[in-house]
Amino acid sequence: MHEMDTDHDLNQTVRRLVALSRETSADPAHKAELRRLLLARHHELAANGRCGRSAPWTRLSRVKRVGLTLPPLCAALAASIVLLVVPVLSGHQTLQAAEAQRLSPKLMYNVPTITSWQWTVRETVGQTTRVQRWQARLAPLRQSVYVKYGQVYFYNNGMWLQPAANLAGPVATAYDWQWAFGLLPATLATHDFALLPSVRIGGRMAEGIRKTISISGERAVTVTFWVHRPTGFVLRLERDITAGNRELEHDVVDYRYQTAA
Amino acid sequence: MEEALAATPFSLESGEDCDALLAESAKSDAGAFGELYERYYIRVYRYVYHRVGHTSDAEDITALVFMKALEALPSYRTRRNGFAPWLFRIARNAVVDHYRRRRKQNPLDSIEHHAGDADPVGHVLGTEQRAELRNLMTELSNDQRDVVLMRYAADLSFPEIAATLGKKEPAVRMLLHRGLRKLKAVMDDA
Repeated sequence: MHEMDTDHDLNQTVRRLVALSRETSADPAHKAELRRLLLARHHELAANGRCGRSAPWTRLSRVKRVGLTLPPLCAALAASIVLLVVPVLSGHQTLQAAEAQRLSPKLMYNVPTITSWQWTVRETVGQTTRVQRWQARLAPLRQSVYVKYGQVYFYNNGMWLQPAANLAGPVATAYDWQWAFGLLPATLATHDFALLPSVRIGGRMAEGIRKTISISGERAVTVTFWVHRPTGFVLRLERDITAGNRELEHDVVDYRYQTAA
Repeated sequence: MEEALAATPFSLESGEDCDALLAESAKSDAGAFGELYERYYIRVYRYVYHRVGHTSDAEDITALVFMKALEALPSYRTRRNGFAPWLFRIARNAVVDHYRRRRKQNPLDSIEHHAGDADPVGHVLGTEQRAELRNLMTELSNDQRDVVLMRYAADLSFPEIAATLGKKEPAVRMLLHRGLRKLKAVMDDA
C-alpha cells in the first residue's frame, strides 16, 4: 500500500525505506519488563482512584526490594515510635510536626516522578561569588529517586543507594548540591527546625525551613530549605557558614525539576 | 439498506477507531492498556530508534513515552483525534526533549549514564541496514524525517501523521514526496 504514496518512479525508494526501517527489532526483554511495569503502574493508579501519582513503593520489583526491606523497616519502626510516642508525651502537635506531616507525603508522592533536575549554585565567600549550573537526568526504568521514612533512596540500575550530601563541610561539591534537596525529608523527620515566613521564588510561594546542621566551636552551618508548598519540592536551598557573628560563606542553590507526570 | 446498516459497525472496527475505543477502555482496564501497548510498542520503538539512532536511548525514550501516555490517559479524548496521533505526539516531544537535553552541558554524565551503552542489537543482523537508514535520514529536514519515519517505520496513515504534526494532509504528502525525491537522489548516487 505504501507504493501508492507518491510517484511511480519512487516506488523502489519506498520499498527500500520500508525494508530498512522494519529491519529494526526491539529487545524482547525490554518490552516485557516495560509491560510489567506499566501494568503495575496501571493497577496503582486504579487502586488510588486517580490519574496522578501514587506511592512509589509498589513500583519496586521483588528482587530490588530485598536489599531495601530491612533498613526501611527499622526506619519505619523508629518513625512510628516517634510519631506515636512524641504526641502523647507532649500532649499536642507542634508546628514542626504538623509541617512535617503535611510535607512528607507530598515528597513521597512527588519525588519519584522526577525525571531530571537542574541546579544553579551561587557560592559567595567574602567578596567573591562563583556561579555554576548543573543538571542530572535519570534514565527511565533504570534510575529513580524515592523518599520513604524520611530518607532519600536512589535506584540506579538495580542497585539501591542512599545519597548523602555533605553540607557541613566547608566545600560542597556538585554531588552534594545535586542531592542537597534530599536532606529535607530527614530534616522533617526530626522535627528539629525553624519555620520561616513564606517568600516568593520564581513566582511561586515557598516556605522556609531552617536547621543548623553543624556546630563546631564558633563555626556553625545553617541550611534553609525554601519549599514549594503544593509539591514539597525544594525550590531554593541556602547555606550559611558563620563564625560567631561573622559570615564566612553564603551559598544559594536554585533547583528546577522536570517530572514524568 | 441492510448491508449499509450492517456495514456501520464494521467501519467502527477500523484500526483507528478500534484503538480509540481501546484507549477509552484502557483508562480503567489494564488489559486494554496492555493490548494497546502490544499494538504500538514496536511502532513507537522504531520511530524513536531511527530518530535517535541508539538502542539504549531508544529504549529509555520508548519507556518514557508509554509511562507518560499511561499517566495522561485520563485526559485523552476519543473524539478529538485518534489514539495514534496522540501517542506519537508524546513520542515526538520526547525525542525533541532528548535532543534538547543533549545540547546542554551535562557534567554528571558519568553518574547518570548508562551502564549498558553498548548496542546489543547492533551486533546482530541489520547493523549495516540501520547505518544506511541513519545516513539517509541525515539528508532530510526534521519535518521530512518525521514524516518518512512515521509513514514507513511506524506505519501511520497520512491523516494520522497530519494530526500528529498538526499539519494539513496535503502538506504531509508534499513533505513525504520531497523527502523521497531527496532520498532517491542519494540512493541513485550511491
